[in-house]
Amino acid sequence: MRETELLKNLRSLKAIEPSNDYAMRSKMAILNYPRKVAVGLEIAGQGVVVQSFNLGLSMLLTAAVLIIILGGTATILRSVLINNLPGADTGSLVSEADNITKDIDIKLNEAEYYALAAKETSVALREASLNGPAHANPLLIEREAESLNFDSPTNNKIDDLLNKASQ
Amino acid sequence: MLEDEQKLVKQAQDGGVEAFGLLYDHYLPRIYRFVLLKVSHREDAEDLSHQAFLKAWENIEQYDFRGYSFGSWLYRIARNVTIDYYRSAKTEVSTDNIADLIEETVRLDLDLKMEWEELMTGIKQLKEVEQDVLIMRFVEDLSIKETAESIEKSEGAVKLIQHRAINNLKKIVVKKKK
Repeated sequence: MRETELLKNLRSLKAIEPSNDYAMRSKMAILNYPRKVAVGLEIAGQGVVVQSFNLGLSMLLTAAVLIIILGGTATILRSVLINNLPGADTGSLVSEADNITKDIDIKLNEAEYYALAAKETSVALREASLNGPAHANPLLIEREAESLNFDSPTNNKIDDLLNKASQ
Repeated sequence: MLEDEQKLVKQAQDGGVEAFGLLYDHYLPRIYRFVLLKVSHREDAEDLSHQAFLKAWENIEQYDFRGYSFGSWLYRIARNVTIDYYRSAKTEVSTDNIADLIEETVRLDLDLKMEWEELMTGIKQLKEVEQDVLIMRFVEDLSIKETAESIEKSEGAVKLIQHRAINNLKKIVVKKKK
């Protein structure tokens, strides 16, 4: 038997068909069979329930991620990692942290000092702008000038003091 | 392949009874023929075809077009149902009732009836996978790709099995004629 003849005969088997009666009965039985798959979700709202669930789930996950970030997971993880790293020198790390804290304290004190100085300067400038500087007050200058004898350049008090010292 | 098949499958997956009904009408003759040629018993073929479509309806949500065609998916189910049938019932391959089967299945002239009897008896003597490939490729006109998807083997393997199956069937038929 030649191959072409064999294949032709095989193709003729396509004439085999199920009876109409069987096909109809089987079809009805299958289509009336209740499917188990996710019936509740389909009935409940044509996907609305599923969508709501997805939205809720995504919001929940976002919130969880934010809590983890803001809750200082990095710090927790760092401490855990430092404690578990075999090569890490805990003593030097602690002293480095102390140094950094001290630096921060010093810089804070400096900032506090500069803030106070700036405040005092601003007060002085304000007073000066209102009243003028005390050393430039003409009344004060005049009073001081009176106590000084410009006509006689000798000062008796100085002479007395020099005499006492030489005795 | 049925026109708008993927649309029908999607509708069926969403619970569309009518859509699955159309898929059933299109594929039932093919699946029934495939099963009948393997079990050679009309009532068993009807039961197994029914089981295959029931499983398909129950699990249609698991079918994903990206993997393989819907037809291949159905043939795969039918194939598994037939394998289970032989395993559970411990059914022996019998060629006794093939003449009766042809008689009650289709009206043929005597010569063609004898050809069919030889062919069907020969097919029954082939290996399971050779039967599958011969029926899918030459009775159902499935492509190499679809056949490979249905029997879960590579396309190269299908070509090889097909070559062996034809040679073996030729030998069986020629031997019987002698």
